[in-house]
Amino acid sequence: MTDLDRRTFLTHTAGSVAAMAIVPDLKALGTFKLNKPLKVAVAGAGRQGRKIMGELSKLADVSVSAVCDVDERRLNAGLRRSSGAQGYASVKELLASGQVDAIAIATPTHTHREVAIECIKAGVHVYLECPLAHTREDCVAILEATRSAQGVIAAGLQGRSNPVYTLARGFFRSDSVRELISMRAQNHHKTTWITPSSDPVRKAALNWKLDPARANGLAGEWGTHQFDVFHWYTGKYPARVLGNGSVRFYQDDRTVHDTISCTLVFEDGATLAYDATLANSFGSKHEVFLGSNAAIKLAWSHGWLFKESDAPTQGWEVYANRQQFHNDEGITLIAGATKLAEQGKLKEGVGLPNPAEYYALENWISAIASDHAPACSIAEAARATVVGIAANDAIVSGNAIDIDLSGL
Amino acid sequence: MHLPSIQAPCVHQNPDDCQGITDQYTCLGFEAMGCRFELLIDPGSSGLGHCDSLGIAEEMRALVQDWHQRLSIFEAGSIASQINRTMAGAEFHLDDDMYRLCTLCEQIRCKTNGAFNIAAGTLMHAHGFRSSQADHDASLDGLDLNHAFTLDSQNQSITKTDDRVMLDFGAIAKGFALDLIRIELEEHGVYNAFIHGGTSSILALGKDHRGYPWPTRVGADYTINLPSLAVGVSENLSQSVRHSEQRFGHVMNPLKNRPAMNSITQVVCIHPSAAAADAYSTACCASPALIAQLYSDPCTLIAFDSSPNPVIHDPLGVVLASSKTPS
Repeated sequence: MTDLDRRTFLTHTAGSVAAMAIVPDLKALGTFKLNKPLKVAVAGAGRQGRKIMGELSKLADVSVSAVCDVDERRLNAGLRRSSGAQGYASVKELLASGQVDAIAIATPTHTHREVAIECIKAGVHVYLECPLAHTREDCVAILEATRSAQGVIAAGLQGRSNPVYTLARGFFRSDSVRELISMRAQNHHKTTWITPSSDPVRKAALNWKLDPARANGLAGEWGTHQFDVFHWYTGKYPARVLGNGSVRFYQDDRTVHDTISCTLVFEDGATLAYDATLANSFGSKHEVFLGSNAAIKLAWSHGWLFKESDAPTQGWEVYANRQQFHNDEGITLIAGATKLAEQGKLKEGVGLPNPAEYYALENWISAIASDHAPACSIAEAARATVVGIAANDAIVSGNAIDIDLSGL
Repeated sequence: MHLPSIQAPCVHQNPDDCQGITDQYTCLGFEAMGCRFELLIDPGSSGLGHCDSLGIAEEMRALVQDWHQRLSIFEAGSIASQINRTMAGAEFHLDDDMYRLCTLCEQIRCKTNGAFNIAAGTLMHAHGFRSSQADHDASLDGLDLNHAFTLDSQNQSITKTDDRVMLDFGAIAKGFALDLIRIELEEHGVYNAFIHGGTSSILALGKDHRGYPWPTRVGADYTINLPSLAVGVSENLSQSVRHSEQRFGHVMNPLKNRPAMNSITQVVCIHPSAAAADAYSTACCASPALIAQLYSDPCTLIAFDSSPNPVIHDPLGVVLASSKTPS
């Protein structure tokens, strides 16, 4: 943390509820002004693509004007969620129509390179879901393409635009956590990862996550998003990773591990312990920073600060909302807390009203409207993706892997 | 007072009873729409492996959770909450799926003479089931819930006619989701399955592993055999509030702008459509006069009140006394 960060933080936190003014005001989000209504296309109408359509529909002056998917069933499902949109079976046809200003890409990871580069070259604004790609070469190619982009190109590492995460980062970069001791994260979600289909060809196409040639397992698909939170907070990337994994539960013919763990080691000796499983849901998805003064736990829609008993008390804490977790008491990190406290509605602000996708898309559209940089650049996403790829390599091979981010 | 309960095949008080079920079926339980859903798929009859049938069950879970996110008035970002926040007179555009649901709700409102109405959410708020004291005190003077909103097929939009109108899809959401699940399961080649949401919305497909229609108990005395039918159960006093020493159930009567006040304690509706079964059971609870009117429909109705014998109208021939339950 720089001195400037600390001074700024302390100015804001000096003994009043105004401490929470550092919080991005939720009401201020979505107040961008577009010059003209924005026609957005969504490429990939699977579950994530349809979720994106739903979140885009909440934004003023934004319409989903086109949907694209190679799978006819999914395309039709997408069109039912975007009234008046045109359907396309390929991105080429979609771009040739000239009817879109921007495109959100939610196709399978291994197809990102081809789709994203085509869209970037066409000069439209692009929101690209993460991980960025399934190989380092593809990451580099997409990154290269963005250097001559005319539109705003945003990557979907959604922690960076999440209001709770932005708030918590303010605490992290101030004196609240003090010395960083260690980090850990997990993603536990009980699911087969199978997308069913009675047609074997379609089934093979839909189940790309269970194909090691087309995806990077749990570390790549899930870990990338969570690793980036640590990169963003600390401003550092791990130098080395070791890990292991196995198929613990799903006794079908899969080779992709359903349970993994890995340790990412930073140059200064700090470690990030990560584990993920498809066989248990306990604790769900969260990230933890352990510091000498406090711990921060982030769970995407919620966040908490757990103070050490010897850490100094700050004035605003008397107003804070608290939750008990067995022996630990967490101060709830509430976005927009100042206004809510004034209205006596602080408790109603616990948890975000919208999913993380909403804030990421809102940030992208806002960047288009105001010509500022999006919260997550393609370069940041490329580095996080390469860390995820390295973690998967370490898990699959059982060897420690040096992480090479040169050129990214 | 006779307050019967539904006993579905996958709902067991004793965990030991579950063993036979888990041996025969792929089972998945999950929370959504304010209750626990349970889904049984017979993989053998569909030629599916266990993991594949579990993958199908998870798709159904995703479907229900997706509609929960869209319809829940407790989710600030849901479409229902967005409509409720929209001012009267302002158009709110709907996607095809949502417009289809709203149209279905309007058709059922007309069919039930207004006894089922998604605008009854206004009354839930006003009578303290949903929100703060301020809403509880809100005046409903001059509010006609039969004209609470308009649907525009041209623009595919909904427009509230009064700022006080609050939509609530709670009386149809689970049934609507179950109907979508039926379509999805059949597309996946699953023809034998049983799903319930909170035991008050049930969908049976095909037959159980013994080749019988799915047996489901209603209260202590009745078993209904479900061959590809749906069940909706509405129980007025399962949630209640007290005003001025009087206890009101959570079923609202949109025709009178107040909670339902009649002798009906529970209505069970068995219908080919789960959405209709859900909506009709609520409508009959709100307005018992509707029960006789629905006799012309292809649905079985069981209406319980404080008397020992319920009113049973069973054109589908699915209700059995407990002594006739197949072993």
